[in-house]
Amino acid sequence: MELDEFKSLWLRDEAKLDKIIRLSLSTLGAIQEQKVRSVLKPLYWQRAIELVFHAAAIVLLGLFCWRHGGGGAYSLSAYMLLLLYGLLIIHCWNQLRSLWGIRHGKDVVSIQSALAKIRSSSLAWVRLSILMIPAMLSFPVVVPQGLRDLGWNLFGKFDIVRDTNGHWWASEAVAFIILIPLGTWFYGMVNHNHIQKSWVRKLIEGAAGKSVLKAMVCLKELEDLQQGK
Amino acid sequence: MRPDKETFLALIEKHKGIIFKICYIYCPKNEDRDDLAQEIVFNLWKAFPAFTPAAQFSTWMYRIALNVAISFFRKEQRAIRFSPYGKDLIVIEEDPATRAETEYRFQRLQQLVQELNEIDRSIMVLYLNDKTYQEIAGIMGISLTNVATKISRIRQKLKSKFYQ
Repeated sequence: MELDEFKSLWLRDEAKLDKIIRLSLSTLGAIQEQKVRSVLKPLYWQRAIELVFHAAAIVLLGLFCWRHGGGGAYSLSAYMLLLLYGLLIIHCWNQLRSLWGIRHGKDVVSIQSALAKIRSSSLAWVRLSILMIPAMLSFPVVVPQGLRDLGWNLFGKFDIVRDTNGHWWASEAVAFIILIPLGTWFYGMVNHNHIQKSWVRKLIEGAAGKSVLKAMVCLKELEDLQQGK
Repeated sequence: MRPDKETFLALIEKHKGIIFKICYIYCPKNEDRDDLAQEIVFNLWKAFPAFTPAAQFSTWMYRIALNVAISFFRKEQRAIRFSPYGKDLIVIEEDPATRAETEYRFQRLQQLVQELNEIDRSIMVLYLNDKTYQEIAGIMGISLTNVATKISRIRQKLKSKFYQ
């Protein structure tokens, strides 16, 4: 049977379909009484609040770098944190753009792409996992010093760079040199563009779950469809 | 703008074939079909205030209904469960001598369409409902060339599976 023959039979049998599937329009009365509430709204607010916090962190880190000059242990650690918060801001912004992109009546591919991007949001933490290691080493350097700069002496005289005779900073520098290129490569690799690689699929499934893997596969399919692949 | 229930109901009644066919292609089982139909109508009603009369209602309806069907199918991680031949499917009335053969072939092809992935199924629903390539491109949000390529590939895929 050719598809055209199938199509003509399909069209001819429209009337019969009516009898098979019953759509109860009477329930619409009940439906319209329900308060129309978007399930995406909480997500929107969550991302907006995250964006504000990350932006605030970037401003504070910028001020920290300005106060401590262009180099040295403190600034280098602050730059690492700036990189991390910069990536988090990009992630939040992309999520907000996807949420804004969901409008009733928009084409199928745009809406499905936006939904897949939203579904895969938890992947950001997996992608950032390697870059998080040098960032975590930077927090004990930047936070106590930053609080001291603000006049809040919560950590007393604790200064991890000085107290460890520079060993902390040395290990931080080694971690930067090794992990930043590795983390940047990893961040670029773990996404839907490399979903055909088995290690990427296994990692996404293991770390973020099957639903995120499915969303990434779908995103790849939609991109291929748009590009006519 | 306050949505007008009567206008909405009239439009739904006029175009309910779209909902039926999308439900049919996305849900081989009757129980899922009812849930999906409800969800589509609910989403259409939710979106109705944003509908502009300048746009074609059926195109707008296809976009929303297909998006709901794809999301509904994915959300529940529904496994494709097929009905036994003849139980749930369309009955073709024609010459008794060839009816059984045509019916079998029609149902087999219908099953193969249901086996396609969610996006390919959307394209097939539109194609089977006699939408032009231009209309399919507009509803799906892809280029005309991509629609033609995609339909040609799906056609090949169905053909090879059909004659396997």
